[in-house]
Amino acid sequence: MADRYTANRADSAEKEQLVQMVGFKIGKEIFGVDILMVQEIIRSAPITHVPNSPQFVEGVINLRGSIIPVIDLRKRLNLGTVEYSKETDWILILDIAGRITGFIVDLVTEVIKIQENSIDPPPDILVAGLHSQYIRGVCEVENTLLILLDFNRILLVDEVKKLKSVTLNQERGDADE
Amino acid sequence: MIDLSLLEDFVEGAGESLDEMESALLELETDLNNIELFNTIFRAMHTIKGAAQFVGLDKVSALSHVLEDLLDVLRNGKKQANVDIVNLFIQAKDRISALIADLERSQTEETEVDDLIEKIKVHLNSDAPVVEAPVVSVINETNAAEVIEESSDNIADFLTDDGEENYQDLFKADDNQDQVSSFLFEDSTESLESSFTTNHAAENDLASFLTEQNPVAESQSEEATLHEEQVPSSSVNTLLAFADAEQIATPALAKTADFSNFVIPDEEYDQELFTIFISQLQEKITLLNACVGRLKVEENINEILKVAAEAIDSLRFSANYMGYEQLTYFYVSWLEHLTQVQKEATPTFGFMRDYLLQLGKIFPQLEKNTPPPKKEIPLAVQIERMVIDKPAPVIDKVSEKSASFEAAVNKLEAVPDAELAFITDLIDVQTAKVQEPELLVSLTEEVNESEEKSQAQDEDLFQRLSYALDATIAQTISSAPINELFGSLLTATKEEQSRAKAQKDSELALEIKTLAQANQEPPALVEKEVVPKVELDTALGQQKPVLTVHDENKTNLVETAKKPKAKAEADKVFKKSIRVDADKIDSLMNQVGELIVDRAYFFQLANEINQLHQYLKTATGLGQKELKPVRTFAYRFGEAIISLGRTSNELQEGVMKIRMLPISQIFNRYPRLVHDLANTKGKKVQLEIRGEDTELDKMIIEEISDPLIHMIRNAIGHGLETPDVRKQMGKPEIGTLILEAYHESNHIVIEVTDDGRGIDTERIKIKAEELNLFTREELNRMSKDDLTRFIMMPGFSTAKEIDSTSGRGVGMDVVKKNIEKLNGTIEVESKVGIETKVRLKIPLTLAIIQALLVNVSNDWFTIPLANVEETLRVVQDEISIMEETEVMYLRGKTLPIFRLATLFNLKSGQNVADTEFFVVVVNTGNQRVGLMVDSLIGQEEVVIKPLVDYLHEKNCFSGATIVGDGRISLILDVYELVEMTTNKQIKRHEAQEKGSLVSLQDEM
Repeated sequence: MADRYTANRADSAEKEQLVQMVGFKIGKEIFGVDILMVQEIIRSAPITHVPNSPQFVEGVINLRGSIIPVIDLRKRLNLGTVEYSKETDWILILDIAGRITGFIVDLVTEVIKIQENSIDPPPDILVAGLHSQYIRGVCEVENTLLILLDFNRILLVDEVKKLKSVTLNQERGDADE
Repeated sequence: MIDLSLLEDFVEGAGESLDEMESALLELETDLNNIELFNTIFRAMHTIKGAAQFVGLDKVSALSHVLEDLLDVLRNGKKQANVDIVNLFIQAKDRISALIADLERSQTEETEVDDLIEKIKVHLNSDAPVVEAPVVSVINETNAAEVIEESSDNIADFLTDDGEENYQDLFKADDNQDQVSSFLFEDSTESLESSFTTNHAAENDLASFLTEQNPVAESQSEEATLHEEQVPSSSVNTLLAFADAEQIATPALAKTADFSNFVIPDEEYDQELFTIFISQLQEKITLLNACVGRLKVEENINEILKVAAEAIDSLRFSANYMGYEQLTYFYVSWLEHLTQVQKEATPTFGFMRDYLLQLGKIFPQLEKNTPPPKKEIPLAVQIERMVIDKPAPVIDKVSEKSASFEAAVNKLEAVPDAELAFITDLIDVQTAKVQEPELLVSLTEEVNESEEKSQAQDEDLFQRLSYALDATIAQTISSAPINELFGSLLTATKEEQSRAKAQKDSELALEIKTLAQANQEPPALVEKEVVPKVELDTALGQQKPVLTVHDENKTNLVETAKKPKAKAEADKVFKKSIRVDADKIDSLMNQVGELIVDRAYFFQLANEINQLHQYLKTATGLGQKELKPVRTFAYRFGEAIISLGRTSNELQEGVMKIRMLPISQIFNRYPRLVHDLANTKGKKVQLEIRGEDTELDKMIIEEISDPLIHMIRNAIGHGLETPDVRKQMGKPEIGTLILEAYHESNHIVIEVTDDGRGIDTERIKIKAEELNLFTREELNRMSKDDLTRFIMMPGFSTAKEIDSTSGRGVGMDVVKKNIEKLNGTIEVESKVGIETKVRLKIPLTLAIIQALLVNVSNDWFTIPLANVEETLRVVQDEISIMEETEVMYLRGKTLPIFRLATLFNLKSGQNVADTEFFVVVVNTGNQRVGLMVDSLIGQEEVVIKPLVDYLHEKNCFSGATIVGDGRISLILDVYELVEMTTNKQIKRHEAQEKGSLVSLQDEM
């Protein structure tokens, strides 16, 4: 009886192992985020810049009455600045542990289904110029590398604050000089 | 044992009661003989105690209990109240507050109360007379009803929670009880066993059937079946054992003998109350009996003792309320005994039985389940009446039950037909007889009456008879034939009821005969049917919910009935108010906020239509005629929007009003504070409160409570002089402290005024010099206002020495911080030697503000109008540069000017060559600065939306808002902005000084 139960469990677990990812592109790299985190995907909205905010915070948008911060993922991950055209931007609205945040990406591609067990831990070396701390894992899909981002880490409050204070101090320093 | 789920309610409720109590205490101080005040305090105390016991807070209830004792003595005039006692009460009130604070923080009672209890007891005992003839206390009946309601809830809860356990233990105890009582029934065992076998099959069905119905009942009945299989006779015996226990005399009995001559006073109370009291008593006694049984077999007696102690305590509590003083003391001594024994190494609990026995003697009606003889309306009839009065819940219950019965039937489809039939029978019984509770009730009534009658003849026999009858009820469930018997009983009862009460006595005799016939040879039947007593318990278990409903209904009724009498004049507001989750109101508020944004959008659209009209007129050259439809549409659109605006305005106000509370909520706390402070400082203060009906947002009320306390402390500590000094100065000896609140457009203004010594700017100057803040010359140049503002600096105090209340220079800093958080302003006005007035100006609500929209390089920013003093159009010539800061002279004063575009690193839309600027003068209470903007957009009501923390903190923005066309406008946090600019200035100063130093060194 008990054996059968565990066997059943194992079966269903195997089925559950299939995860769906929303794939998106920044530059040439393909990234993935768990579809359950994605609240919606919008094409560019008018962004209001917030003065004195961290550099990677693009500003805030009005999403049907709520004010949501928008982070430029390229800047946040230091993937090099490319002057992007506002018209082609996509904003991924993610629910990261209750904090609704928008992330600007170059292009949202498609929903990718992958096996949970095909996800490898992030390699020690830099992937696409990205620190491994922001990577939840990597996975090979159709001969390309899909990088699964750890958005919790990306939005880690302390870190965001620290980054902010750094930028602020720099500014203040500049102002002082 | 603290019930955490109830704690929150308790904390809230107790807080209210404590406030009420405190204000009464303060009044009492001046009016020591006001009985009404005592009653008010008593009421508050009692409410707290009741709730505390209900939740399981030992310390709170212990403390409030001794307080009640003391109050009672005072109220009865046995002891004269004096200031000491009032102070003791105030102390006790504080202690309870502290306990409540503990509970809020850590869900435990940390603060010690024993010392205080001792003190109170000393006061109590200093006066001799304790036990006299029972004094009927004039307690507010509403309270009593509440209390009793709580107690019965408590019991109900307890029974449901621990029911299973109790039963289990009861059965375990059986074995021990055997020796005591089996001799009574030795001869009946055989017949019992035979009846058991016949009943057995049916019972099993019952058990499984109950499983479907009630999870608690399930375990009970299973337990029952199990035990019956093992010890059929013993379970019976136990049930009677408790009744027989009376006959076992023990030496300990002597101790309690004093209480045997209790007289329960004639009922001046409501019969209803009394019946509730009795039913509670009964339940508790059953519980205690169970506890006694468990004590013998269980290892962990502490738990059981706790339960027992609680039960006794709650009994004491209700007895106390009923005014049965002797009974109360009986319980008290019982409790003491219990705690004493508990401490012993090898506790014996024989005394428990004695007390129970004693209790049985005090309340003979308990044993027989009847109301006291003098009753006009017996309990049963009353309950019945309740059923009739409030049929809905009962019917609901019954239909619920029948639904579950039906479910059970479905489950039992596999079961043989005969059994199925019996179950359907049951359902019929249940559904058809919505009056079923009535039926039970009338049955009980009959038992009672029959017992009453025959008391003279043979009590024992009738006790058995009552069991037999009880058993019959149970049998109704377990076997169909008995239904008939039931039926006959029912008709008998109905007959009985239909006849007038005058004929009751003769009827009763007849009834008993019918009963006797129906039961045939009572003794034999008893023996046969006592087995189902166990079932009876389960059956009663089922009935319990219905009965509880009755109780609740009853108490409700009592409450509503008593209300008008009870507190006619006071607290009308309280009765009408409801508690709503603040989140719900917040979300409603948000919705309204959205609506206001939409409204603004519509206004904008209307403007656009007008512009379109103009455009069509000029660009296309269309004539008036062709444009008429457009014009009419624009007009009607405008009308519609005005109407929408009106409605949404009203809605907004309405929603805001929901959150509004009168400021008396906090003002009423201060008389106490003033009283204490005046006492400790040796000053005489008269507090005047004005405008306590002024309403403002609850959130703001909470936020300003602390600042106000500081301000009052300042006024009494620093402002007002001691009586001697005042006399010398020719002022009245008693200082006046005025607390005033009033509305001023969208703000509430709170003023704290004292007629004390005022703020001496000279002393401020000296202190400022001491602290090396400024040089003497600088200080001399400063205006009086500027100097006064120093008092709000952290660490700045002109007090010569630090004492317990003031002198550290924290107070006004706290005030400032808190008020700024609320977008409010502080003004200090002072006339040396005459008065000091601190004025707080706070917006009515935090969610929607009036704001000025400005444009800086095509971004819109919002400046709260509360901070805006004026807007200016300035030409370049008026601006000069002073210490690298742009300043201008405005009516004789220098005003520093900051360019928002520079502060925010934005590219100003202005040309440097422009010679005209817009400057918004903002005021933070202490400081005025000008903010230079590109253009002014207009004044608008905006809804504040929060920003994520990392955008909000240290960022000069308190939030954001969505303006008419959907774009976002950031709301400036003027305080932070000003602070930032001054910081920059200071840094620059420092840098300059360093620079000059370096250059000096270089030169050297």
